[in-house]
Amino acid sequence: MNYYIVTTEIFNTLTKENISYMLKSLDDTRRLIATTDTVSERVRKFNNIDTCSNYTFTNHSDWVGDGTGVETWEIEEIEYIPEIDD
Amino acid sequence: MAITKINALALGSVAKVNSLLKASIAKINSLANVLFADSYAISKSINTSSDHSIAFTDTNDTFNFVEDEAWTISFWVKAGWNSSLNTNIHFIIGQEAGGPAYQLSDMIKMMYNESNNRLYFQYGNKTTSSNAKQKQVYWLFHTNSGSYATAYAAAGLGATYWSAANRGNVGDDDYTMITMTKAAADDAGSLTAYWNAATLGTSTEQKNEALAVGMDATGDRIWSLGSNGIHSGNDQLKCGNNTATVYNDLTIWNKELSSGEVSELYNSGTRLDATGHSAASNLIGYWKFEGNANASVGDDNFTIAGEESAIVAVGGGD
Repeated sequence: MNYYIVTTEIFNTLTKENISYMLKSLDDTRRLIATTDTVSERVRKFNNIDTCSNYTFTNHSDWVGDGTGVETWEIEEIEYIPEIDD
Repeated sequence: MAITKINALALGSVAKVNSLLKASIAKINSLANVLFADSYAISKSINTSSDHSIAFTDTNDTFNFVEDEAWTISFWVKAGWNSSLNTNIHFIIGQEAGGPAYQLSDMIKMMYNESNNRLYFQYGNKTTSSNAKQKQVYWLFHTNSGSYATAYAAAGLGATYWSAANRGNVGDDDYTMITMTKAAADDAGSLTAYWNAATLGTSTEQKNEALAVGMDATGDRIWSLGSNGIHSGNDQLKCGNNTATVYNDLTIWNKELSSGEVSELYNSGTRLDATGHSAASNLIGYWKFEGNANASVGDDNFTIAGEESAIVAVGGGD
């Protein structure tokens, strides 16, 4: 699995069926994703799920409204649904 | 002939006594409900850490449900978060005390995923992320089509996510009664959800992970209200944002309540004394939060840590 932050524009070009997790940034300009694809046009790439999670805790004001971050189990459990795209 | 006459008389008398008894019981039940005080609820601080928790440790296995048992957990909630939460808010979670940091160990939980407007129910025993021992279901509320339509109608949130500004269909004092029932079968499909006693229908997803769940029936579990409990030493997260969320009348039952029994508990939106419920013999935990967080049924009293989480007037938390 690959973990990225991409812009919304790039996100819209990706194959949604290969994305298992997606979280919009609070300003709605970026997407934090887990995908089986390799994405070359990205804002940031994470080595693994732990560094991805840790980044959101450090930069929580961009991603979550409660001052915490995205925990690893959330990335694993909160499934992205392409047909809903929320 | 004579015997028949006596029998008929006796039967008539029994019927008369029965109807008198039924009337008396109904009168006592209605009196109990009239006397039921519902003046207070419990407000969970949005501050995190164990210094702000609402929790108890079940040391005598009262609520140590395992995967092949039936149970029901129901509570009333008044949403305090806003639409900038963009994460999860944990309503209630029971999990292994002193266990591994991964929060899904010996776990039963009910959670609202605000970033996707979904209600999650889960149980399992994952001690690491690769440990596929979990059952999970969820429902989403903002799509009025296909299999999503039932939950859309039950919640009444419309296309907007659930928050303090949009509480959807509510009972008295803007509270929503959320109920999870589980049948005995160890399967995600055995979990059913109700919003104010209205079924949410077929879940959006039923996730049955590959390995046997294997929950421990005897170890201590910590039950936390309004936060995610213990996790990586950075515990009691995911409490919400904006203003505190308020909870009321938490009940735990050792059976799968039927839809009729959930409706009886909902009582058209007016909280009732659950000890007068027709399934009260299966009620094993009951917290009214009337002035304290002690159990009215069972012996597990919640401890309210810190000063921000508190007993509040039932109409509070706006």
